[in-house]
Amino acid sequence: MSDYSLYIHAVYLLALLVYGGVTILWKIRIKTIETRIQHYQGLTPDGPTHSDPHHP
Amino acid sequence: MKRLIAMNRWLGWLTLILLAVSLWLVFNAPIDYQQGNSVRILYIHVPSAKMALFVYLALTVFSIWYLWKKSETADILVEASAPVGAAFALVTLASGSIWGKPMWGTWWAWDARLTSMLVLLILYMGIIAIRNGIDDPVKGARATAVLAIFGAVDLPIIHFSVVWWRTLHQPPSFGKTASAGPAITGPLLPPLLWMSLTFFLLGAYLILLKARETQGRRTLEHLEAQRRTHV
Repeated sequence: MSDYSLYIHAVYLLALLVYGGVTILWKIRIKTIETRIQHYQGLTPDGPTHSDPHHP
Repeated sequence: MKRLIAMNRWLGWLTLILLAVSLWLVFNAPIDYQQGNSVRILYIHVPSAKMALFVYLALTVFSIWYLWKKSETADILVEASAPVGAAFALVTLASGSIWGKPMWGTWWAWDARLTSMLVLLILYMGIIAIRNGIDDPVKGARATAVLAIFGAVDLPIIHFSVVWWRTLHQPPSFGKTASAGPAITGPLLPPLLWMSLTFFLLGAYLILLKARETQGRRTLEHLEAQRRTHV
């Protein structure tokens, strides 16, 4: 362990997991939220519009 | 806000390019005469620590802005900054601990710098918990902003802890202090500056990404509430 490579790998992996992890997690959440917003915006207050594929 | 969110995509790509350059510099930098190869841990640890403090400073400014102007943008930025700052503080503490084991012979010490940084992480967690724990959005936003402003007292304590007290932690990496001696210099400095710039952009990118998520979630909740009242 003279060159401390295990410690260095651990730190860089940790940084990748934390920073990469939150980026991917939030990107997925944005995609999910924006899809649901589009779904809601396709509905009228009285019911689904004909353009909404889930509510023909 | 919308313009900032649109700009974020380019910021993401710029951060990735800078990260590639910075990593190349980090792994081509010479080893330290005392720490050996373990100095490479500091290229993650120091920029993360700087950003943990900087994001909290920004969070305090957003909180004052919210309390002053009752701006929803400010509230969204407060909510978005807290988890980003928490991520930086977590990496700072964990990377410092991993570096401390071979260098100091211990994972942790109740030293002024380490303890004040742990307090910062707890403050971030508290802000996230309060923001999510209070159902009334106005009360939640106000409570979060007030806690954030009071918590800002920890920032000078963290920054000057290595100057005010005799600590196990080494003096500041940037600049010089009369009592603490010279900071990091020579060929070890450029990779640290590049990594710091990269982490600054990463912080801005993550805050804007989280702000987009927060804004979207609020719009969705509003639409769902509207839908329920019409059904």
